[in-house]
Amino acid sequence: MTMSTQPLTPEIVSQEGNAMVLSMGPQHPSTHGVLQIMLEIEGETVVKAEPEIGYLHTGIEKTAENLFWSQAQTVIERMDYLAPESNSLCYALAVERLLGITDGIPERARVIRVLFMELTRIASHCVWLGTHGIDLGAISVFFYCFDLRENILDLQEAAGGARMHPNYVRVGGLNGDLPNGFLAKLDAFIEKFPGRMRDLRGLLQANPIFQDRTIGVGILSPEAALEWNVTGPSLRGSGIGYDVRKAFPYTGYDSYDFDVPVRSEGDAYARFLVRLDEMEQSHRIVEQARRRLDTPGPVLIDDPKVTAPPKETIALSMEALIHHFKIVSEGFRVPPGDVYQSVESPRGELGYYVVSTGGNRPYRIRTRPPSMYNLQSVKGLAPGNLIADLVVILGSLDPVFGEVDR
Amino acid sequence: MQSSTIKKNLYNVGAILKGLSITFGYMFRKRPTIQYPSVKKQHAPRFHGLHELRRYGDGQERCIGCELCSSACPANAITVIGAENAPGDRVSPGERHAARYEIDELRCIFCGMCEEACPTDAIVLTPRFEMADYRRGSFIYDKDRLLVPIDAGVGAAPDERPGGIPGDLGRVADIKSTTDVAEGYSATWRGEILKTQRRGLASQ
Amino acid sequence: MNVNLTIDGVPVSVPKGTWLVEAAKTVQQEIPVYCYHTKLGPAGLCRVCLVDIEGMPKLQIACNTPAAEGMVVRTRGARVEAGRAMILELLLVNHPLDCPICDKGGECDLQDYAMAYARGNSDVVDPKTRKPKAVDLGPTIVLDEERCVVCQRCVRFDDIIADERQLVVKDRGAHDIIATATGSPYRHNFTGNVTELCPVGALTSKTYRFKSRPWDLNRTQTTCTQCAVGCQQFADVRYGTLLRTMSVENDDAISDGWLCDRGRYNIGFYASPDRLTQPLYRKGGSFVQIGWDDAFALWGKAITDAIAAKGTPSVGAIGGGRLTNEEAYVLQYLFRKIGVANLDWRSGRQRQATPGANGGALTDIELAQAIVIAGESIEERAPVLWLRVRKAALRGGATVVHAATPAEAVAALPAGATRVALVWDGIDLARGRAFADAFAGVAELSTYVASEQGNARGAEAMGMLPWSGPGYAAARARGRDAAGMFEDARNGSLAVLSMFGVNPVRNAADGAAVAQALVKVPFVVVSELFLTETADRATLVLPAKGAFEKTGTTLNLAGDLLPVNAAVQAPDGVLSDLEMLLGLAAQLDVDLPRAEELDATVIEHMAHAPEDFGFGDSRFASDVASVPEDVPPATILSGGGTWRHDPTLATLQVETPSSQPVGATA
Repeated sequence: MTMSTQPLTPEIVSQEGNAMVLSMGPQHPSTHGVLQIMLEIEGETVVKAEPEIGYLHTGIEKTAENLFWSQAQTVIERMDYLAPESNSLCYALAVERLLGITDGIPERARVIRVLFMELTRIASHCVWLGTHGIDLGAISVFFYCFDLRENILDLQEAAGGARMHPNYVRVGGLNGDLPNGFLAKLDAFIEKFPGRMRDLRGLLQANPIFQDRTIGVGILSPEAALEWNVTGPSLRGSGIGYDVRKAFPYTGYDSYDFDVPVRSEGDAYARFLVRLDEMEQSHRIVEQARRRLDTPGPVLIDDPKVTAPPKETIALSMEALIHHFKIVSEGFRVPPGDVYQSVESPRGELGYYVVSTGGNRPYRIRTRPPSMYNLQSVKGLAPGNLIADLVVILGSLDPVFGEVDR
Repeated sequence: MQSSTIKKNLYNVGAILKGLSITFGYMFRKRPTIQYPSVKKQHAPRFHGLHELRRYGDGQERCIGCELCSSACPANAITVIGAENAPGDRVSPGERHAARYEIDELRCIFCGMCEEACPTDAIVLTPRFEMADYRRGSFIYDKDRLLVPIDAGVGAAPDERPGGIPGDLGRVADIKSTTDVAEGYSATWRGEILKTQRRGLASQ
Repeated sequence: MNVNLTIDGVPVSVPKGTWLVEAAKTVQQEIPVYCYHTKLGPAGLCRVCLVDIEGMPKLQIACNTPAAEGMVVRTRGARVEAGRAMILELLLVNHPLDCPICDKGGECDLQDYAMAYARGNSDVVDPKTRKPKAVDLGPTIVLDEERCVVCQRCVRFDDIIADERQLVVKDRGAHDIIATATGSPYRHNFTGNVTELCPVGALTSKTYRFKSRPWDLNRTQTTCTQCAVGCQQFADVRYGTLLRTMSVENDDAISDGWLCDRGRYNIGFYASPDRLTQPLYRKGGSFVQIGWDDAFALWGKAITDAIAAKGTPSVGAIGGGRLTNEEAYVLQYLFRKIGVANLDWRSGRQRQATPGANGGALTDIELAQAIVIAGESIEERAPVLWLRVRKAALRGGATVVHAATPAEAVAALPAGATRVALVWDGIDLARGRAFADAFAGVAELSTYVASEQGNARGAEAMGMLPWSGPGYAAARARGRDAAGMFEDARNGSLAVLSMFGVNPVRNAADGAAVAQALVKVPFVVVSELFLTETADRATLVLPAKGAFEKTGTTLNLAGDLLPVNAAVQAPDGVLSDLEMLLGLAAQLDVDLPRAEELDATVIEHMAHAPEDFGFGDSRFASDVASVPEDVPPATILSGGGTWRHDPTLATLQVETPSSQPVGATA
């Protein structure tokens, strides 16, 4: 991996002619995080672009190796901080498969997981849409998006206790059932969403400035997209309808009725439209999940060797107290083995390759962060475009750097 | 000027006017902005904010110094050192109490696992989130700052038998987790919450 | 004779009479046990070790079923696990909900097996039996009677290992409790072992009460240096404080898995506020604190001046028994390099620490038919060695002979004894020689010297003797021994005396005379942890590191080279004796051997005990005939005087024989 210690690679510096080397970032506002792109430019035109990653390296994968399986969830959730549930769900699914308890997860927990998966997708796309708009000079979109996102964060806070990292999805189910009053709040959101979506579309979709800036910019051919391992909306904007939810359904996604939006143009505008459509499809799934939530039921697997028993029982039963004590102080043990589990995160295929040696801590957690692979394609997309268009291309790929650098 | 260009320009003007009409429309809607700090957001009851150590209704500390919170903490933010209760000068019910209890709020990631680990519902995350200070050292909260006022205890202490475990276990957490979301918690003063909860417990 | 059986489908061949629980270990199958213990044998009380044996209608206990020819055993499976779950549910019926306040939490067999075998809840809803909690069992142990699962490991330890028979099971049925037979405090030299044997949190140490959790502790394996046995032990440290020491269970060769209470509980002094942390220099009758640079300069100048004025015989050094091998080697190397021959480790009453020919390994004692103890009882001098003597007597049928004279000892020997172990205290050379001569004809004689200081044998091997250098090679110039140096001091001919970890004023045969002699030495240097009687009479006192704070090796009484590993950080300003000697060497312009050379040298010189001398060799004889007769035996001879400074033990001695629970009056 190229580290940023040598940002000026010799092949760039040795270019002849009018070429000039420009460092874009890592503090550039349009890089949506701490990304540095070494640009070789001729006038305003990008000849070569070299993304330099690693400015936000947090060592989460390594940290997780020193935590219990249950504790690792808290740091893994922080990788893609705009869509925390996608991280924690993917990790929980992987560990559940290693434990062999996938089939035992209660139905209600699976529904709530889907609900939050899709809510977090809408929230994440809200941030993308708002910042993408700001990059192109559309300020109002940002406010309307963040207002909508705030409603979702409120729901996360109500269920999990924190706006951004609720630590709600757990191995074996969820950390507690939905609180009283949650469904009313959710209904209000479901009702509010279509109107807000109409407004957002009205502001940008037909806007000539927006269209001029995005149509025909950063065209990613289907072949190139596959070569760069691009996934998610960016891939579907290039005409390939690959979606993990449909291809490898998890958590009962096969029982929901939704479409996978695909566009064939492959430019920034196509990716924009795919994401907008996706938000509406997520809304459809949220509505379906909401209907299933009227049935009460358990939200955590009843397996005392994996999940701590309910707290009120530890004052009554010695067995429960011992299991509580041991699971809190030593964590649960996971049988030896390895597993790859992926989910469709708002950015694409998010995967965890989890290795267990039979202990109470993960031996290795390897992340397949969609942002990282999507970001690589900048190298192929940027040449020939103006510097100003690079901002559009970056925005349309929607990278999150907590995930890229992890 | 060609007619197609004129058509396109007209269309563009139309699209821009449509967009402007949307923003104009929002001027007459209810603003979602909260005038912080003069108005404070009502947080959900489950909100993970600043910790506090609770007491029983009789003023004894709930914490028994078992260190489960510190072992559950993924960020190693909690330090507990236990000690034996002197007969006659009991800090907590049972034989053991926390001689030292410190949380480094700068390390804390507010995941709430300490709260889940606590076998006596002693450590609880409150909705208080305003912790700004000038020195890093002042983020290490010790027992003096974590313990609630002596009159803000909740629940009846377990019987005098050493090693008893509180009978109201889970109910304190219950109140926290099943309170109506719409009611919310005020982040202003932690004692207020406790007194609300004490009333809640008494009525059960 | 071996029998063949099948355990979990794997064919196994084990000696006849092997318990199934042991046989299962050969195929890496761990069977849960509470009452069974490898060193205590089976009792058949807890019933948790159930296994399925083909042809037997019911589950059998693995701990008390001997392996038999053709047996087919299953240690796993639904039937076995259901049986164990039931036993565990019954064991937990009356167990109090104490995990959060129990010291054993996290290292508790009951928790571990409950996690492995028990169900997550119980069908029993009846109230639990209540018994007294926090019962003061003795000076070291707290008993929680509710937590006890009556496995009787502690009772059996007291009976067949320690041979004390103090603990018994009182009352019957669900009300049975552990207590001392007479109701008096539980007190002997090995009480701490029951806290480790206890599979639950019933018996816990007072010194460790509520101090920590096992997952907070940093564990270092090191060697106990408080006597010459050299037991391996784990030092558990939290936040830089040594909280407890634990035995090493598989340390069969040295400690046999046990620790004495001195080794286990005499650790509080490391954190004592009385410890010296800065060099002290006597100025005008009282001590002033000085820096290390000044201390080294004063020390070096005193030695250089003394040699210049009165020659090398006016300088002497005493120490080694409490140092590591490396330190003892460097000590004699440095002083011999500048021509000083007055070197000795023997500051107390002991004259000899190396058994010479016939020196045996510790495990040889178990094979002996008779064990002869010459001189002081080893129960205080080397407690864990005494456990092995008891083991030989109780299990091997050996005769233990305490005799004042060799003739009596020989008379007490069983007829035709060919394997004899001879343990001597090393004090009276003539007596040692007489005993050795009396048993010289025995076919297999193994001899031991129970030293009063931990590394006494190491000090001799490293050359801290006036007549020999490293590896017992004869020294080029024979110096004066410790008694001789004190005589020189009395005569006024000794100018500088450096002492390392010794306290002759307290431990020497005639301490008062030593105290008077020290006054006449112009410059006395003492390296110590505390201001002992000897240090109090010094010109320069150097604060030293203890054994848990430094790294090196020691040589135990059987000649095993054992590692000493630093487990605790020493207080600021405290140096190890090796570091002090480095500082002095710089002042004296002496180049010391490098670390690798030092390690190689230590291994080279410890390797073989010399064959050319035995007990009471004349070379060990004092060149001053001043050892008085009829010295009252000191009870504890830990050397250096750290024993009396232990603040923890001071509190342990408080007698509270009542068995009232602590919380009863609250």
